[in-house]
Amino acid sequence: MSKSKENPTSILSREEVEGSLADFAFGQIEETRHLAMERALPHYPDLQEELEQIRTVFARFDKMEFKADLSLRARSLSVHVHENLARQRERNGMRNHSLKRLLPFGVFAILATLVLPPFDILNYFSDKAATQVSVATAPDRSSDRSAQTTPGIIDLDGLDELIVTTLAQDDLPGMSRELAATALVNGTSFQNDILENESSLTLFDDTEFDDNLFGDFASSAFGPNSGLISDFILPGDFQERELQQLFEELDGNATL
Amino acid sequence: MFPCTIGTNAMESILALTSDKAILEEFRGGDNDHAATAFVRKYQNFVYHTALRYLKSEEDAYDASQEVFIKALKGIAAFRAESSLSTWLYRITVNVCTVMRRKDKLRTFFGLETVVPYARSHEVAPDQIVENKDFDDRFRLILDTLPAKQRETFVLRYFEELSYEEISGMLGTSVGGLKANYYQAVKKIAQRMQQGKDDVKV
Repeated sequence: MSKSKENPTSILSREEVEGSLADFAFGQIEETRHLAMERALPHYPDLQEELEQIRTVFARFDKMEFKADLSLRARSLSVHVHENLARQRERNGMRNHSLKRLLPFGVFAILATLVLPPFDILNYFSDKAATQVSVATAPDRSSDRSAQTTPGIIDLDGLDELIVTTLAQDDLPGMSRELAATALVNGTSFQNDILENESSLTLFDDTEFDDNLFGDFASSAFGPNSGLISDFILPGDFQERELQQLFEELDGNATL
Repeated sequence: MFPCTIGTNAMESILALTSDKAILEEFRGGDNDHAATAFVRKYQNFVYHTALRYLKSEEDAYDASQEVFIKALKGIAAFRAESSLSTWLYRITVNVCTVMRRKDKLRTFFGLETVVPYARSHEVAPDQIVENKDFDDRFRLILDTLPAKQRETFVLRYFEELSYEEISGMLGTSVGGLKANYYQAVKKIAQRMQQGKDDVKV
């Protein structure tokens, strides 16, 4: 605004007078502007008439009473605002309290979901059917061994490797890696085989060494060399042939 | 540092909080209840009148005013004093009223509620207006018929006695435009009030 630029001798334009007319009528104007208006108004008689009309009408109007009438209802606002705020704080407090109580359980549940599955290999065996479904739906992992394993999902390749390694360490016979994997995929009683072999080895290890017992065990159908012994003993024609040879030798000697 | 240390009478200290700066300092000082009371007391009429002009219903205006103050008190800690408190409150009030009006329109559209506007309680037939000697009622009615920008400018300048710069911050209109609006509003009110008076005489 051009307060300081107000030229005391210049006459305000019509637009300027119109812009300040209402403020001039209600006394809401600075002194320099007031003087400028007083000088300019005689040049615009129609605006002077308007000014008179405004003053006459608004003189009858009690601004303060009008405002007070409107404000009657607003008087109790501060009380209600405080009440509402207190109610909201109470509600928020209750929500925070319940959140504080439930939060540890929530955190535990999330951690349990994330941390427990890698150690939950044993459950895998008891839920073979589920594994079979996952095998059926999973892409061919044999072609992508480096693929990352999703947490919480058992990696079949890793699992059969683990089992086969265990078998190799225990020196169990007749079980190749491929056979183990096939047994797993086909859902055969691979678990039972492992347990059975392991129990027989344990029996062998824990028993006091005894020739007879060892002989019994070695010659039994459960023994690790059962195949060799049976190869040596079982073919009946071999004994027959040997006996015949002995008989022939005896016969020859007798003839000689 | 501040009026809360003046004496034991809490009301005295609340009344002493008159300037925006004092209220904001009280909030930053940590005495929120004290400052909130002073804040609401200072601006309750301003907010309520503004809401009433927008919503035309005393009840809705009262509800809106409560919501405005709750929003303002929740956000006052983040108030950066780049504008005056009145400008900030005016914007919140207009936003709250706009949302309420939209809801009312929806409710009316779905036939859930019939909105009785504030103006209607004063709305009477033209011949009754002439007969009505109550100056304030006529004034209010004429005020309601003004275009929104003119009405807002008139109320904020005449009743709230805000500066053109403050009103410009609230309404987003230039000072020159506001002066023109104010002149037009005052001229129309004077003409119509005069016209009504002359009609009564006839």
